[in-house]
Amino acid sequence: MIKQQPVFDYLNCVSCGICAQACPVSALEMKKEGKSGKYRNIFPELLPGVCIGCGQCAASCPMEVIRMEEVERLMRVKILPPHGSDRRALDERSWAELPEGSTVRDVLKLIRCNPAKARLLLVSVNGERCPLSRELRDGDVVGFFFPVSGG
Amino acid sequence: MNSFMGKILRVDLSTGRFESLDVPQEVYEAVLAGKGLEAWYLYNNIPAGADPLGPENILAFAPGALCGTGAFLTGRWTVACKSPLTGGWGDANCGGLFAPAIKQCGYDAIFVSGIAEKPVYLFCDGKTVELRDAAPYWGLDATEAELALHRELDPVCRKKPCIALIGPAGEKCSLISGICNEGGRIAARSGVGAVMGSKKLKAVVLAGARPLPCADREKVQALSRELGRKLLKMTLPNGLGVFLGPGGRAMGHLPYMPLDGSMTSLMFRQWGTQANTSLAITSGDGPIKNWAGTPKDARLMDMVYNPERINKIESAKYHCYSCPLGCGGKLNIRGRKYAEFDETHKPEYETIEAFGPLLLNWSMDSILQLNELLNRAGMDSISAGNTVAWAIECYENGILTKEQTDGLELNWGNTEAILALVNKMVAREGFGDALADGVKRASERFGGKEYAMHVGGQEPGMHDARNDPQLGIHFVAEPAPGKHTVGMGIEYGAMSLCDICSWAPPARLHPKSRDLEDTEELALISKANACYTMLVDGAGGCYYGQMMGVHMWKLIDYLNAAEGWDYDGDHYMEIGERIQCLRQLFNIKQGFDPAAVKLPDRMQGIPPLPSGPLKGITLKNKEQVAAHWRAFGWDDKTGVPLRSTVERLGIRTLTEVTP
Ligand code: SF4
Ligand code: SF4
Ligand code: SF4
Repeated sequence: MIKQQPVFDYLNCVSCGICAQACPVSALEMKKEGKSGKYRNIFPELLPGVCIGCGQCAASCPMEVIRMEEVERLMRVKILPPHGSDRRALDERSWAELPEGSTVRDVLKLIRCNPAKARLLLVSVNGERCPLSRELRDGDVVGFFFPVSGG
Repeated sequence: MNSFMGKILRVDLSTGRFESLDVPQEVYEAVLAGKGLEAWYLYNNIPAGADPLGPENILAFAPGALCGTGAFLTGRWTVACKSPLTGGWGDANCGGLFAPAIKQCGYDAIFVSGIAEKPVYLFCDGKTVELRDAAPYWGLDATEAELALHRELDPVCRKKPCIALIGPAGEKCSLISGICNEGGRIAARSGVGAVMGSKKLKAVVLAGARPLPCADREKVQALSRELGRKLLKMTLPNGLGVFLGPGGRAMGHLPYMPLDGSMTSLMFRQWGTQANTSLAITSGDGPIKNWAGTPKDARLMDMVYNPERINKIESAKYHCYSCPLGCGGKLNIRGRKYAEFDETHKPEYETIEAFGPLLLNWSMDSILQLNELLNRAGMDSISAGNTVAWAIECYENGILTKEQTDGLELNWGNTEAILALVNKMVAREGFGDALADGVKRASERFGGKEYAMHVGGQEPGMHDARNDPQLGIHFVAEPAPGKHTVGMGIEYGAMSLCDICSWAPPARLHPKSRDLEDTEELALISKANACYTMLVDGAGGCYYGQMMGVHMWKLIDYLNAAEGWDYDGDHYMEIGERIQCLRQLFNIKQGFDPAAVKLPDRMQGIPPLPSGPLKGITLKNKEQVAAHWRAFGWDDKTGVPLRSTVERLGIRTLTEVTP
């Protein structure tokens, strides 16, 4: 899919952090080291894969540092897997890439959850219960809970 | 649309109930958000005579009106409650990331009452609000607990949470404890940490991601861009720090105080607030040897606390949310003498002064360690420093014996003993236990009241009123006495308030002796200072934005653009006045007697210092405070706002409005 992604013109950045805090998925972190004039400072950095292309960072920056650019990339969802799943396809903040049109069932495959076990799970997308056939959208948060253990 | 969320969150820890309440627009019009909203709510909802550490006290967290609009230097949040330290209005202010996080959950403020049965933390992500078990975090220092909460919650939250929490000092209800965020940035004053501890509330964890509203964002951003571009161009040459001490010495002996404060933004960008230390030591601004010393006692100490030395170990600058200035910094302290930690936030001027010159302590390394120790414990370094200074003076004068101090030899400048004592205070251990509730309580127990520097129960900030008598007015007349952030004469000169406010006298270069009088003009200046500061708090602004002056940080333009209003400065100054009046009324309702608050003799120059820049100065503080109250339309003997003033400010109708 074609997605928007921010690019930065750090020369005018004043390290105010407004963009990072505006980001709804915390895809920006103030950790890029650099210099502002002669002062050592930190600047916003895009965490690979987390951005959902919403453009809020660019809209919030008073210094006109951020421009949205189109890039080709897969859909991203955040997965809160049940205990004992395979997390290798997830990044450190639990996000994963999936092709467009993927459903919750595809997520189960991704985390190698066996189908028998899957039947016992409660599934939620963005906090709402839903069936395994639910088609996912970029930025969704997919949660699985074992009702038996109390979630 | 304006910049308010329109809702507040009410949490009752005793019942575990939450309520989201709508705030009528007229409240925002009258007091903005931040400290104003808190003053309105707490005045109405904390019953008279409430025990500050009991269930009836309400702990409030609020960002200001401008937070999230794109306005620069508006990332400050205010905690307010009834102060256990003074028994009256209490508040403390902090930066970091917590301010926008409150709004991103959909609220302009969070009000917490009651007491939880066992330690809990409050979690809110803008959709759900929950009280969760805090047992795994109780007992951890503020930074450890914050990291542990992040480890637990970051993977399951869509947006990384922002966390405000207490350390062991707050848990143990030390009356000089505060509330931290971002690894040790602390809302330190008024004993707000003890109130949170008494409620068994370890942390408030916010992970909301709502977009933040603003009437005219483009206009606000344009104002910010103008300021940001100026700041990007400003730098100071390296190596200047060494001249700050001699500069201060010259300033101290000048018959005039220089007026231009636009330097502050330069200095804070270059060094942070610690830029002031060397200046303060030599100019008479910074108290030395428990407020009784002179620069002679600290000769060459300005070199020890030369800010360049700290800049050398700075690994990165630290900015609060929305701040282009970045007066903060992260220091690498690993392997330094006394250091038990790897990193610390750059110590503020207040901390350095309170543990350096105030105690005649010559070890910068010890201050780096103390800074981190106090930040993690969540203890106020201003109050702690004043309390240790009292202990040292008592020990030196035989009021405290070695047995009482648990064997510590509390002599001036005994770095090891100072470190050991603060460790005991933080842990509430032995002699430290008695000191963990501040200097007033300690001196009531052990004696040495003449050495106990507090104003109305709270230890004063590190600026000497004999150098700036305006400060002495606010130390005493402020509803939260002892705070140094409400106004200074020097600052007044820098701000040009006369350009936004018709009744604020123009700042003129004037002989220092004029500041010692109790004239009406000076009273108007102190009133203007206080009103503007309250306005800044309602807007959620940083005092260093304020100090840049109205022509750099354009608060009035920002507010009009963000709220879609078209008010002049006088209207906004009246909002500030209203907030101040509400806070004073809170005190009156709680039985706090403003007229009983006094500067300690020593701080008034009784007897005057024999030498140095403050030689021979005695303040007319009582008269100046009376004039200040008159200027506010408050009774000049009792400090009670007059009926006509309360009417004029529309407070009676305001307090009848409920959410
Ligand atoms: S585009 Fe949206 S998701 Fe991506 S970094 Fe900016 S604010 Fe975050
Ligand atoms: S909002 Fe703009 S100026 Fe501020 S840190 Fe982000 S990119 Fe830099
Ligand atoms: S000037 Fe300093 S304290 Fe004020 S907002 Fe900026 S970083 Fe925070």
